[in-house]
Amino acid sequence: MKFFNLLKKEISELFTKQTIVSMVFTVALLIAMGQLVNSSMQKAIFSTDITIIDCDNTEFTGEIISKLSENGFNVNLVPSDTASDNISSEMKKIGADEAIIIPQGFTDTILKDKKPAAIKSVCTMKSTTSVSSTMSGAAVADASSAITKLVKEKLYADFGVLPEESEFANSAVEIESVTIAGDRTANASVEAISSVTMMRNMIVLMMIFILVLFASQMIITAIATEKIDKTLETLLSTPVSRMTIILSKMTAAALVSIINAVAYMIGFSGYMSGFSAGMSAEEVGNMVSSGGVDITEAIEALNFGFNAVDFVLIGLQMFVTILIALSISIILGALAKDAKSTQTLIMPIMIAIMLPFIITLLGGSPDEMSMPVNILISAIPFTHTFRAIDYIAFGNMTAYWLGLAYQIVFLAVCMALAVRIFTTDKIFTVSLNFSRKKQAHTPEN
Amino acid sequence: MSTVLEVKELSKKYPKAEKFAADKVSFSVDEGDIFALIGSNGAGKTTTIRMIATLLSPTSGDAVVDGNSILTAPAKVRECITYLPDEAGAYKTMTGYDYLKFMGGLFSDDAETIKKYIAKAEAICGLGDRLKDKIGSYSRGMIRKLLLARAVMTSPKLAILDEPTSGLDVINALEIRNMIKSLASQGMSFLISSHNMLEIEYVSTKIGIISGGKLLVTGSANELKERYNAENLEEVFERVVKSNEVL
Repeated sequence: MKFFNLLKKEISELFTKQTIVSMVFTVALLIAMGQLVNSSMQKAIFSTDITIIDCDNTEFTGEIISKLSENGFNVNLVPSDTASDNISSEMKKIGADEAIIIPQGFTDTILKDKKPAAIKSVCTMKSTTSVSSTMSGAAVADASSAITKLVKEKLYADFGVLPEESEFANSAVEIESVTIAGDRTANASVEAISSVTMMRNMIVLMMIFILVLFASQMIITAIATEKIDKTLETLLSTPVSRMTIILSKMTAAALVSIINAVAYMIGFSGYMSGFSAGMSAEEVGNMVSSGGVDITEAIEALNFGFNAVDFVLIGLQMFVTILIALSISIILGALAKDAKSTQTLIMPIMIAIMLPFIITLLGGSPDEMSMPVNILISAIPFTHTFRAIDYIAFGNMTAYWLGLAYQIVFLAVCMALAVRIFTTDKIFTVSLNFSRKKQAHTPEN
Repeated sequence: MSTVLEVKELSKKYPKAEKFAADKVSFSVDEGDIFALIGSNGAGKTTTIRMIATLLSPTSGDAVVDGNSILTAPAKVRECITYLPDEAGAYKTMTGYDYLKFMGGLFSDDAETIKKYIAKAEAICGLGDRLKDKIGSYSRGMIRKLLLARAVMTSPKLAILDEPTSGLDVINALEIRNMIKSLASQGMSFLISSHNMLEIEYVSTKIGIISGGKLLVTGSANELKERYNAENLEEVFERVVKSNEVL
């Protein structure tokens, strides 16, 4: 009986409104993430839609394509008389992200010259940060393999293959992987390129995530503790300007969180290298491509290798991001009434950083989101930090500068609010009491 | 004696509150005075003190500290006051010595001046070698002594102490009262608030009884006892509050 009495008290202390809100949010987030992953996986793995640009346009290629349809592929055939040199603009013209290009002379090379002919397996890369981009290109890869098999079967069935021709017949079709990013192309598979960019950029994403979380938690706790312990009253009554007090807190939190982030990144790099058996990102990419393709060259061709200016731009956005996180945290810390409310006040920041982080990681492209969801996600200032890496990688600088401009405006508003709270009565009169609704707190008289 | 603090019809109404927390409070504190604001919980003591300490802005009225208005020159006011909030804490990860050095550094950039502040605080708080220990290991009484020493080490024109002995045992409370009296005799002025009538009677030179945000009466302990024909301050307080007399 005494046990149950104690148990009841412990549960009532632990199972608070904050716990329920946090639990409901986590469940909702996990379900939403699951659906996002599901749609990406469905699209990446189970899609049978395939666009074929038939530049050869012969009876032979026509038969292969119709057999491809019989094998379960939903073929969108785009006949073309000439193989365009600019694959990127060709793909844009037909509005496809993935396609197989059968070049002119394909049939003659195989049937007349008895030589292997190449088809181009083309895939558009949309992100350098999302896990789903490593899985994209699955449909086009499957279709390419199917074409290889169908050509071999057709050669044996319809044209008769002499014993000395069997080696040629077994590998009559060669697959050349082409990856498109914006207006650039590279002769490597999207899977190989993504595996390299993912390994590189994941570190940056994690760094942003950890930096914001650490800095926010530190400053919320620091301000709330000062408020609760009443050391803040002592501090604010000294001949030091309030702005100096805010800036010192923000700088300290930023510095400590940078140290933390660097330390975590060192640990995280060690952890990740375990998964790649100690190989560098390039070595992993070369292994994945397995076609004698130099992945470093491919990445350079797509302009995915960051230069000094790119690093400055990413650093600038990270700096603004950390300032936003700190200014929001100052406001939230000022609302704290007790230690319990401090924990709850960290939640909005966690949600605001987790949501875009996970969406970016899972490949939630703004183009694929519904308008309200896109507006909601874009309204979160941290979203633009995560998206910035792709904006820079794909040369979408207008989007980068717009994102940064939005963040600067957001920062100015938050800073103005934080300074206003610190320079007026609000630092002592406003607090959030989670047992009731938001209320103006009247201090003890 | 010159006037260190002149409070002129100071009022404060919190947002959404129906009544004024402080309603046209006026009083003055001279050099060497220990002015005590006494009142029950929610009477308006802390609000009045916080306005004078420039932490809250008044709805109306003004207070002038050593010639500086809290409305027009709050930064100047902060240079000549120190404030010790009720139940205030200190930074637990710092040693007592580091805390005094840190707080001294907020009042002066000169290393020699800071050293003098620390030496004065060391002498006042009587914590000796314990100043080298982390504040987290201090008892409540030790923290209060440290904070009081911090509040007076800069020799402010006016030290504002909210419930300076609340929660302390008899010995510690007595030591702090004696400390305040000794510093006042050297010319430092104090504005203190308390619930403890016996303490106020012992330590203060002037008393203000506050209730419902209004300062009902001011005078020395003896003057008030005589005026209300009371044996002690508790009786004075009861009679003043009940009659709600405004002088």
